[in-house]
Order: sequence, then structure tokens, then C-alpha cells
Amino acid sequence: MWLTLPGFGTLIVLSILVASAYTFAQAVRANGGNPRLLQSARLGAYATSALILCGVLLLAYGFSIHDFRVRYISRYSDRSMSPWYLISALWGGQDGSLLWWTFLLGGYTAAVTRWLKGRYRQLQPVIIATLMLIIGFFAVLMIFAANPFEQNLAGSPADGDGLNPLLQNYWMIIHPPMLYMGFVGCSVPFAFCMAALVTGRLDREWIVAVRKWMLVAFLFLSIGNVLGMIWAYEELGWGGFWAWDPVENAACLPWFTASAYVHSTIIQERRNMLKTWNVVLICTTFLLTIFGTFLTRSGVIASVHSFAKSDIGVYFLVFLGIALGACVGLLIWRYPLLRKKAEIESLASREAMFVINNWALLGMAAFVTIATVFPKISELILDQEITVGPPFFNKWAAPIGLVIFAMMGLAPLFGWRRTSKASLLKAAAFPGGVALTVLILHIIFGASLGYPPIVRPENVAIGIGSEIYATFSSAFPAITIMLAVFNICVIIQEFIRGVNARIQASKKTDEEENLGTALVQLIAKNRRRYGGYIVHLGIAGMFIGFVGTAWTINDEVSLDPGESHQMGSIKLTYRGTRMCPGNPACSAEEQSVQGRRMLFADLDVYQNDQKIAELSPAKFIYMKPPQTSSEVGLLRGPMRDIYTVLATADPKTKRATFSLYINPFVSWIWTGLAILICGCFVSLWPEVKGQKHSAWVYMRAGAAAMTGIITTFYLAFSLSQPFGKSFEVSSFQQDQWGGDMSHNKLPKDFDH
Amino acid sequence: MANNFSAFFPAIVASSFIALTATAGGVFGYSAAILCLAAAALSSAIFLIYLSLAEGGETQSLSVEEALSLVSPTAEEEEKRAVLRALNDLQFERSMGKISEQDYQEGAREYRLAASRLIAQSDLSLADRKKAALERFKNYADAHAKEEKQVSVEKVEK
Repeated sequence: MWLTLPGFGTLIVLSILVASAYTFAQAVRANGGNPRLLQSARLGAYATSALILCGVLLLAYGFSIHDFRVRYISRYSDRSMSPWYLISALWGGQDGSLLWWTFLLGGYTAAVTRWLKGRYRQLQPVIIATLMLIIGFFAVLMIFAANPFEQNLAGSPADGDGLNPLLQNYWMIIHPPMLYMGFVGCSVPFAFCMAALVTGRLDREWIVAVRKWMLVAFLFLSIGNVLGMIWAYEELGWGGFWAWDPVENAACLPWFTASAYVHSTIIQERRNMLKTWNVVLICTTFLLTIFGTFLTRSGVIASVHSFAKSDIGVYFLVFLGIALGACVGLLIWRYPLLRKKAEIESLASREAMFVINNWALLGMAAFVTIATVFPKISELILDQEITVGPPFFNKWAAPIGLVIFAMMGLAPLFGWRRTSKASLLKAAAFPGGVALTVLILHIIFGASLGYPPIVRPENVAIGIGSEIYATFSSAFPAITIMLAVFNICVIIQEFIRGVNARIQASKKTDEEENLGTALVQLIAKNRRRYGGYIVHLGIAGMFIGFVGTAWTINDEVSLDPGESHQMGSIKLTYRGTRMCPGNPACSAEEQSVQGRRMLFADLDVYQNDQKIAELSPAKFIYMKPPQTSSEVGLLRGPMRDIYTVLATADPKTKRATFSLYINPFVSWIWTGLAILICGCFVSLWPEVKGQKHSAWVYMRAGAAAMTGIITTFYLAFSLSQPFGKSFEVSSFQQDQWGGDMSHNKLPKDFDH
Repeated sequence: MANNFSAFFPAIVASSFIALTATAGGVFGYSAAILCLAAAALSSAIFLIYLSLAEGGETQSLSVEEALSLVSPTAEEEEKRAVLRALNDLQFERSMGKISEQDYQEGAREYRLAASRLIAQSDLSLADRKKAALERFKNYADAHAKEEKQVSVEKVEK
């Protein structure tokens, strides 16, 4: 039995459990201080990671040779799928995604174990033991509830069922791994936290290490969430990118607490305050990843994204309970060591701003959590399932988000401990002045440009209170733009002040610095601070993208071939439909597509009577699995996207119904993410100390640096991938628009 | 020479596996390359488990080099580093004009006091450790001297 792929794969999963249990035992023994046992545990951790890697590669091999004896492979792939989609099928279903999760955790474990060499010797045993416990949990889950190598009882089918067409998308290949990287990454800070609590080494130094690992998790959570937005925007065809679906909410919950932590930890480092708070934030972040996974996989809350309903939710609930119990127990035990030794001296201080921001972020996490599980809460209390929709989320998330956004801009203006009124006014003069000017200009010219400062939101409740709130929240677009400008100016000012300080200081020495050197040195010597500012810049860009939804124009129209529809300065003329492959008007690539038929509805886009692009929204009809999907016709631009969806088309008359959208500033979200990624890499870039090393060390460092740079550029620029296709359009179109002209002309296949 | 070889051994094994994977991939397609990688991962896991068991079952005392490699900073030293970092930050904020001179002086004085207190504590704890280590070394040396004396007496007697 073990000589078949399903049997051997199952054996590997069992081995993962055994190896993790063995390593856990060695790590616990090493906690007594025996260095040989610690080394043994470290080697065990590497071995466990290697076993997990072997398991993933075996499954990938099964997909590559279409070994349909494995049930998971037959359910999520077929013979027509390209290698890239076969690889993405590794995490396309429940069982495989759990193995993938374990694989990423194994990767983190190996990386942490390597990084810990010679560091935090007292904490190491507990860190390794905690990570092994988590790996062990996933191994148990795979063995008893979701074995990705389970054999097809009815024998091997001739062909598989194929991957869901919605998942056969470029973004779906990179979005889940990134999100998993973020989720799994939260286990490392949690392991450090457990180690600090168990050993009682709750000083300021461990928190420095945790911040780096939390920043890694934060980075991947950000990338994963935004890639999910891009996927939803391009693939689901409803015109938006965030629908407050339970699975989306679950994915962003740890992001809020991780963001809160990367700020509050600075207070602990600087003032030795908020020790308990930081421990709570780390634990909460980890627990939220487990809770989010429970929501996604248990089927407790209805969601369009979730995996098939299964009984693994119970396993997650038990694990969540154990982890929560461990956190609370250790916190109570170590509370005497965690008690605060310093107080916030003034409200006009950076630590006070950070604390307010922390509360707002935690408030957002609490709001989203409660609203997400509200259907279940209402069912328990009222015996009636009450669902809250996107308008409710938007109504309450917007003001909390604006508080966070305002604090993000204000905090850098303050110094630690206390800031005098004079220095605060001096610091706020430039950003405040520019923001107010922009607000006034927005009020005067906004409406005429199509971006009115006051937009009345959809009112979801009845009553005078709700009416007052709706009136107040009408000003949110203007406030958001003002705060975005304020934030950007604060960041620019911080860079200018820092560069000036360096130049002034260098004048007193022999090595006077010029502007460029001072800027580079400023960032190099304060990477965490200035990397953080770059991240803030990215988030300001994202907020501009979010507020763009207030000015979205949406029309539902039915057109006959030759008819046009006007939306502001944009005119869309419908030319007719074509079915590919088969129609002579289809391109060679469209003719060669297999496994699906594609009904395109061609639209010409005009701006001021000049043709700027052709869009072809479509319906794809898949053979396997038999399913239809809407493909968006999208024209991207820095100021607005033209987003078209084909709703229906009559094959006889060729009359077609479209959903047409003008979405302002959406591209700013993707650009914001690219900036955020760059900022995170600046913050995470390791210290380089001038020491003598062997050639081998330099080679490894060079390889690591190259990998880092390539990864940074890949992640940052993969987001601009759709823009990069603008080479395919004529130059006059580019001049007119400056963005991608014919996204929908591109073949959807990744291997294009 | 032997040391150099052991330092490069993992790199040599990894390179061999990469070459094997590339060859298999080139000749038999990407499935074969994946299978080669899986085999490499499994071999590594078995080898690492073997090393782990060997290390865990090791009963010999540590060599001086191994013992020295275990030196890690004490809690006081780590705290001292954090305080010095905070002091650096404070100086940077003063240079940017974010805090007044008075606040800087006050904050810097507190950080310097904390740093000197931690250095004193660290010296104190290290002094205890140094004393204990010297005592252990003396006992060890005495025991060895006795053993050697015994051996030489036995030799003379023989």
C-alpha cells in the first residue's frame, strides 16, 4: 500500500506528525539548558520542515502526472490544465490548502531556526516547541480529517473534475500563497511571545525580534488582501473590490492587530511601557488567524469564498480554545513581570498618539469580528439569523478608518514624552496648511471635476440619529482627501527635516554630506522609521483609492449593435458579439483556446469623440467543470477605470445588456500596495556590520541580497502587471490615456 | 582541509541535487524534476533526523570552543542595548527639532542613569559568574593535577 502515491504521501503526513512530536520533546528537554539537546531540537525542526517540503512536492508530482488515484488531485485538476494552474490547484481545495499551510509554516520554522542561531538561546527551545505544536496540529488535521493523499475509493477516473474557473486567474496563483504567508507568519511572533512568557525573559530585547517577524506577516497580509481585491475586481465582475464578505473580513482581521502591534512595540522599546498590551496583541493576532481559518473552513458563516462545509471546524475550535487558554494562563502567571513601570506623561506625545491609534485599530478589528459573526450571535440570542451587509460595514468602518488615518498623519509630528505647543504648531504648519488649501479647492472645484466633496451615503437605518449621521458622513470624501494630502505632506516634511538635520550635523564634521548622500544615509541609519513612513505613503495612496468608490458611476444598459451609451465624457459604442473559437473575427490566440467557449461583446470607447480603446467583456463557458463566468472588459487609468461587464446577450438579435462602471482612483490602491511593499523591505533590510567574513559568507549574503531585491521588485511590479500590457495598444491610445488600453484583449491564460 | 570540506559539504550536496534535478527535468520533463526535489527533501529529512538523534544522544562534555559559542547576552545587557538605542533616537529627535532642549536633557539624563545602573548590575552578575567559573576551573585543575600525580606515582612505582 505504501508503494503507491496515495500510500506514500499518507506515510509522509504521518512522518510529519512523528517528526514534529519528536522535535517538540527534544525542545522541551532542551529548556533545561542542555546545548546538545537544543542543537538536536534545531536539527529536528529542519528535518520536520524537509518532510513537509517532501509532502508538498509529492502532491505537486501527483498533479503533474495526473495521478487521479489521489482523490484531491481528481477533484481539483484535469488533463487540460496548464502546469501553472496545476501548481495553483495545490491550494485550490481544502485538503491541499492545509498541506500548503503546513508547508509555509515549515518554511517559516526553518527560517526562524536558522535566524536564531546564536541568538535568544534561552527562548529558542520554547519557540521551536511552540512551532512544532502548531505543525503537529495541522498534521493531525490532515491525518484524521483532510488527508490530501486520500485514495479514490472508486478507483482512478479517466479524467479529473478540473479547477473552478474563477480560480484560473493570474491573481489566484499568487493571492492565496501570499495571504497564507501572512496568516502563517503570525505564528512566529506568537512562538516568541510564548517563549518570553514561559521563560520570564520579558525584557525589551525579544520584542525587537518579534517586530521584524510581525512586519513580515504584516507585509504578506497586506499583499494577500490587496491581491484578493484585485482578483475580486477583475474576476467577480460586480464593479467593486471589497464586499465585506466573511472570508474577506477574516483575512483582514489579523492585519489590524498586527498593524497595532508594529506601532505599540516601539513604545515598549522606547519607554518600557505597554508590555501586557503587546503580549495581548501578539496573542490576539495569532488567535485571529486561527479564528479566521475556522470561519473560512467550518461553513459556520455563509460566504461566497469559503471552502466546502466540513467537520474540520471542530478541530480549529478546539485548537483555538487550547491556544486561548494557554495565552490567558501564561498572562496571569507572568502578570507581575508585565506590570507597567512607566506612565504616559502627556497627551501631546507620540506614545499617546500611538495608543489612540492602537485603540482605533483594535476597535476596527472588534467591529469587523462582531459584525461578521453577528448572524450567529443573533441566532443564539434572538433565534433569528440577522445578516449585516456592506452598507452597514461601510457606515461604521469609515469613521474608524478615518480616525486611524488621521492618527497616522499626526503621530510623526509629536516627539516622545511631551511636545511643546510651539514645536507642534511649527511641525503642523506645512502639512496642515496644504491640507486646508486642498480642502478649500476641493469644495470649490470638486463637483465640476466629477469629484464632489459631499456625497450622501446609502442610509441603512431609519430615524433622526441615523439621518444626522448620514449628513455628517456625507463629508467623508472631502475629509479623506484632505487627510491623504495631510499624510503625504507630513511624510515629505519628515524626510526634509531629517535630511536637513543630517546636513547640519555633517557640517560640524570633516565629512560634509550633500542632499543625495544625506537622504541615503538618513534612510540607511533609520530604516525602521523611514521604511515606516514609506509604508504610510502607500496606505495614503490606498485611502485615495478607497474614497474613489464614493464617485463611482454605474449604469445598467441594453444596447443593440451600433448603439452608444454616454457616461460623463466617456462614450461606449457596442459593435456586436462574437463566439470564440469559431468566429473569423477572433484572434489567433482566441481561436486556439481549448476547454471553453467565449462569447465576447465588443465595445469601442470614446473620450471627447476620439476613440481611445476597445473593450470586450465576455462570458466564458467552461466544459469542465460545466460552469459560466463573466470576464470583465477593463480599461485602467490613473484617474479612473472604465469597467464593463456583459450581463446577457441574445444570440439571435445580438442585443446585449451591460453593467458599466466608471471607477475613479482604483489604481491608486494597487500603486499604494507597491509602495507599501517597498517600505516594508526598507524596514526589514538587515543591519550590515563591517566584520571580516569568509568568502562563503559573502557569497551567501550576496545571494540573499539578490533574492531580496528580486522579490521586492517582483512583488511590487507584479501589481503593475496589467499596466505593463499597454505595449499592445497603439501609441495614440497611450498618449490619450496613459494606461492599459485593452486589458480584455489579453488572453486570460497565465502562460501567455 | 577537513574543516573546509565539512563547511562546503552541504553546498556540494545541494549543488549535486540541483544538477540532478536540472538534468532529470531537461530529459524527462518537469514531473521528473519535481520527483527529484521530493527525493532530495526526503533524504535531507532522514539525514537531519539522524544528526538530531546523534546530537541528542551525545553524552560527552562540551569542548571549550562549544562552550564559548554558547555565550549569550544577559537580560541586563539586552536591556542596556535597548536603553542606548532609545538614547540615540532621542538625540535624533532633538536634531530634528521635535523636542525641546529641556525635554532632551531630562530624557537623556534618565536614559544615561538607566544605562549606568544596568552596566553596574551587569558587572555585578558577571562578577558572580566569573567567581563561580574560576572556582569550577580551580576544582577541575586540581582534580586533573591529582589524577596526573597519581598516574606518575604509579608509573614510578612500576
